[in-house]
Amino acid sequence: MELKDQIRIDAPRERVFAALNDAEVLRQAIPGCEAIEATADNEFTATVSAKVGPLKARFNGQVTLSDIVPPESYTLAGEGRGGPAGHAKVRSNVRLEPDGNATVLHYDVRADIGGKLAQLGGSLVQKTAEKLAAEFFRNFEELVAGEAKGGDQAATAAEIETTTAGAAVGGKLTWLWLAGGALALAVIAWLAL
Amino acid sequence: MYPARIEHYERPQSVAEALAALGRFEPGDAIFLAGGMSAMQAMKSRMLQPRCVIDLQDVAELQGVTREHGALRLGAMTRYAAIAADAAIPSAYQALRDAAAHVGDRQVRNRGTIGGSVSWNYVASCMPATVLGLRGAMLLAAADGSTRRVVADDFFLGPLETARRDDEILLAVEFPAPPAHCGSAYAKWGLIKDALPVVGICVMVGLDDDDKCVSARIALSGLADGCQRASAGEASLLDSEGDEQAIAVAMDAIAESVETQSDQSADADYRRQLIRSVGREVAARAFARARGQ
Amino acid sequence: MSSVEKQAGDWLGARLTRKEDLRLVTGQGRYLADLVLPGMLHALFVRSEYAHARIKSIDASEALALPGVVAVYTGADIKDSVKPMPQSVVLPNLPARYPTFWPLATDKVKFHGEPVALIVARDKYVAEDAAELVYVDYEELPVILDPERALAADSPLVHEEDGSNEIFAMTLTGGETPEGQAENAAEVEKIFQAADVVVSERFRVHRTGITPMEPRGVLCDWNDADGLTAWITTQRPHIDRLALIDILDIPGEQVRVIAPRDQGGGFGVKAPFYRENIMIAYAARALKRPVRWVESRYESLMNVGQERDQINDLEIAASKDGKLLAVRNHGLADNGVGTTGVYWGFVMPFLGAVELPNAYTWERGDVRLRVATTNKASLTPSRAFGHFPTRFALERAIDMVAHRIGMEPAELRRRNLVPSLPYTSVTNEYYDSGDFLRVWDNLLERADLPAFRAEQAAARKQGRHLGIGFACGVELSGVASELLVPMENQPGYGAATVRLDPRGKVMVFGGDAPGGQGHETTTAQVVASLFGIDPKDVVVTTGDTGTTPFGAGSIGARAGSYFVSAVANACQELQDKITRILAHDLQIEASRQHFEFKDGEVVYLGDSSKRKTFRDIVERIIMHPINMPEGEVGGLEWTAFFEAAKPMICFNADCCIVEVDVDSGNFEIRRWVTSEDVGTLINPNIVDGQMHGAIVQGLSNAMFEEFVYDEQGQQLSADFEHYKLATAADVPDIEITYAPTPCPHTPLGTRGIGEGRPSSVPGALTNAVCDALAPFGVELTELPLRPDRVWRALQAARGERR
Repeated sequence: MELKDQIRIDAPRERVFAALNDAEVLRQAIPGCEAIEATADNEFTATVSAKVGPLKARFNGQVTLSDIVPPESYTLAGEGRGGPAGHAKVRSNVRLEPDGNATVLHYDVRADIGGKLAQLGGSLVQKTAEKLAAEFFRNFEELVAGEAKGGDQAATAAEIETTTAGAAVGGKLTWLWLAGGALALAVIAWLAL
Repeated sequence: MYPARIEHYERPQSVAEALAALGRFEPGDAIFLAGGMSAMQAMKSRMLQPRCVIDLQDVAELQGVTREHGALRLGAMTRYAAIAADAAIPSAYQALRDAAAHVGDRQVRNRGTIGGSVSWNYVASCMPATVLGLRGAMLLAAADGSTRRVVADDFFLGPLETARRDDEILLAVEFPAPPAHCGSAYAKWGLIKDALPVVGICVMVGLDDDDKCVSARIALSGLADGCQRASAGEASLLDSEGDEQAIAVAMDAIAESVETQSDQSADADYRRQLIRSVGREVAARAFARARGQ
Repeated sequence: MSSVEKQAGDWLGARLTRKEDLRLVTGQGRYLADLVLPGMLHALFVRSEYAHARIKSIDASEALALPGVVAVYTGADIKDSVKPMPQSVVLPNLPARYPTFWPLATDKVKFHGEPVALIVARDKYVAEDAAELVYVDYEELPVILDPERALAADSPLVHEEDGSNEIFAMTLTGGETPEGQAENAAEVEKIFQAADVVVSERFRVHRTGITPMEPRGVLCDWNDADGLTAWITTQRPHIDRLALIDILDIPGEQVRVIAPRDQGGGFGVKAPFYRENIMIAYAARALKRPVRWVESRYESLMNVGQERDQINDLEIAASKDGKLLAVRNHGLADNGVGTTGVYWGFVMPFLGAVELPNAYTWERGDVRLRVATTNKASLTPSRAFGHFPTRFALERAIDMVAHRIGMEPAELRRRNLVPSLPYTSVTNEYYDSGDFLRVWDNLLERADLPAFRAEQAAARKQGRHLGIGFACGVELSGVASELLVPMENQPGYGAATVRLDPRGKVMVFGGDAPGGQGHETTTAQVVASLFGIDPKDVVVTTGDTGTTPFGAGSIGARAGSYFVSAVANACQELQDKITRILAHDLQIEASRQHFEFKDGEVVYLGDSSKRKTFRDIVERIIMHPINMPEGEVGGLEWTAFFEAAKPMICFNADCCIVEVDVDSGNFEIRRWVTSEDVGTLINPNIVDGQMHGAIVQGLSNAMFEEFVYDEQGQQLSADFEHYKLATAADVPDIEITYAPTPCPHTPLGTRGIGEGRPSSVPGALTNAVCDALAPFGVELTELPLRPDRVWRALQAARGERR
């Protein structure tokens, strides 16, 4: 299945890119995200527990990041397992486009689902994924666009630069994969329902 | 195939007991069992793994069909078979009998309930769309004794999602006293007889003394976004006389405006065609019933 | 006619209520899942979630640690102690690329649902809990799903060691040699070049098959005294026993296989030798405790019952006055992985190609088949074994020829039906006996075509679209050794032991294993009619390798043809002995034809005062064998074998009338009438039931049932919400009529019936729909036949005409 959409976030591209790299932001934005942990460079795992109506599932997934071009785009590949519910493999391209002081975030997700998930009915899974993706971005938008200006910002900006620079140089990419990876995982988790 | 371990089984004798049982568990860890036609399947495939099953078969307050000044109240545990056989349901709400009489098969109709169906709100189900089309309202109760009424348009939120909170129980589905000259109908199309709806349509129309349509509600089942109103068609029927032409125009308007999906059962185009062909039949019957035919 | 027929009494042809039914409808059936042994453990297979993937590792430690779990086996655990397939006993004598495989996946999984591990636990719930704790690390591989692409040179391979995804290929015409086949093909091409009319079309039939009410199951018990006893939901216990002996290396004296007395339908689905049999036996032997596996519906829909799935590029050359000249077909079957014993998936399409020519005369034919391996569950046999798609293609193409030359399709068929039998088809299939024209004329009389055409014309004026469609089918009546040995490496003879007991009862033992066809009843009727006793005094035991003579299995309509004939022959031998001894006792010179077995007595026709009750003479011979004729010994039991000289057939024809709603594409069957040559009828109720069932299954396959795989090879039809079966409300009343010709090669003139019967259904149905839509020029060439496809065809036709 495919999810292709875009959302306008009322914040400049650099801040959006940094926020996509911020584990805490992501943990709050992803519905049902319990934990995110780095396991290696460009790799991390996450546990997401999600609910659609009466159905809930806990999903364990792993994501790898590649083709990183800060603050523009990257690709991530993720796979996750949801126990008896099945599995999913996700590949998503995330692209940030500046729009004045705001950013248009394009996402293009291709997900292959298998096991009971696939057998439940593609249209239900599609709609569920769309809905939860929308919820993620609503949360994300609130967190990013609503961030208070102030002293923290200076520190944040410094962190962002460091992180971004680090990314560019290929240094410690602790938070970088989280963005798209979390997105992928979120999609996977939602697909587990 | 076989459910995960169910730690507790409760069989309350009243709504208060049922809500008390519910309250002893974390949200989502206990489920109500009505007819079980959906819940048991979900448990067998382990898509649902409740710690506690609260079996509602003995809760008298959830049973029964009552009528008061033309208003209709169906207890949440009212079985499809009972609805289908109820000759006292007014012509305005005949769609309920149309839908109930063709759910699944005889065994399903003897067990499945209207409350279970609207609470589960599966995409391919008939009752949610029918209740939506007939402007039903869900009566919900919480453990503190409070109740609230949620109209269908606010109750059905999307596939498998309703406005019922985790700590509430559905008591009944209620329909207001209908105006005169009001009729409804429901029909669905599935590949085999009485199959889950690939597309289903509920139409309720009201006429004035000059035989003109003054109210119209149309709801669809089987679409990926879940049960939904078809406002394009409703607007089109108003002020018409419900003749063949007017109905065809209305159904075309719906077919052009809604989002249909392609899946194993049918592609998006054929779903549009079904909206037209099934919709025409249903609307014609609704108008006939409104005229007392 | 054999002398046995003269003796046949009232029970032959009687509409006797089935002996099986009372116990079945009162909950006293004894199915596999009813069998419980003390200390029994429950088995569950962990199955692959991927269509094609390498197994990197399996971690079952958490599963093993779960309280109540007794054992977990993976492919790696059993690889060295279980012989891999192929094994000769379940291997056809046909040239093919037979994949090597163990009962659990070893290096790769090759279809969604392939067994990867076996869990044995104290109950089925714990087993399923444990299944969630088996972690398999898969590395996904590209999936191969399209049979045409699978045969491309650059396609990834399903079975790497085979070097190709072509498991089987054969030319069925022109003899065995490439030179002969090439010469035949050239002659066929000449006919096509010169013909007035050529119809050339691609016909597709989807993946569908038969779904028995009872899925599979296996219960194995091992003890050091008796060895292995295996209860299996199988149609062929004797074959399964041989396979277990060979694969698990168990001495034959220690293996007994029993098909439970009651089975909820086989229809071919329970005819292969399955992996699960091996693993359950293995576990029982390893654990020295009984182990039982009961398949869930989900597993069943994932793993078995998938058949048909063919593309047939079919061409017919005909003359403008309606003579069918030549048929040319390139068939391509989607085999799935093919890893099932006995059939390997491809045997079905092989037979389907053999049966392509059907009941028509052809000057020549060029019939070829290729079978491709893909990442799907293997094809498993289903009633109308292999020829549901080829029959659909041919019957549709014949209608298209008729439309092209402006002739009634029924008339075109009549002109080309084989006029007299025996006859050998262009694919070298032998049709032994029957009168096709008589069957056809009977159908035409009942259908009343002229009246229908008038009705159709009147309806068209009112904007209603009625249509009529015909088809027919030559079907196997049992499978002669001549065909079964090459096709499945098994004999075709029927065998039966008939044992009389001193109280005048008769026990019959047969090695086949029915699944609800009513063999207890038909057998009892045959025995009762021959001995002049009541069918309730006849007990039939089937399917136990410990007590029954060898039987190749309940397949291919063997009962009415081969088994019942063996029963009749055994009864005849016993009649001979009884009358010899009775004549001696009565001091008369007489043999069997001078006596009548009737109403519980054996009566001398020359003087009816000379008589004895059946019970008394039987008791005398078994219990008091003194004062016997010279050289005669006591006892009354006989085992007889029956083999027909040549393969045998039965024949049927169908007529379907539909009405089509051109707005929605919905169509309704208004009438279904048939004409059947079933030979001598033993029990018309049972034959009627066979026909009803076959036609309903044919309709359900043609219209509703479809196994769907997505682009990842995920099988999406594993429950009845998605895999839709016809209900009673979806099928018409069916008018069954008979125009039988007794078979000259069986003692009672009976034919085996019912197995191939669904095959003419999709052709008749689709021909009717196309006839209704003739004004629009719609010619449907694909199944399933569904309203949305009819609608789309109409849209396309209307669009073109504008």
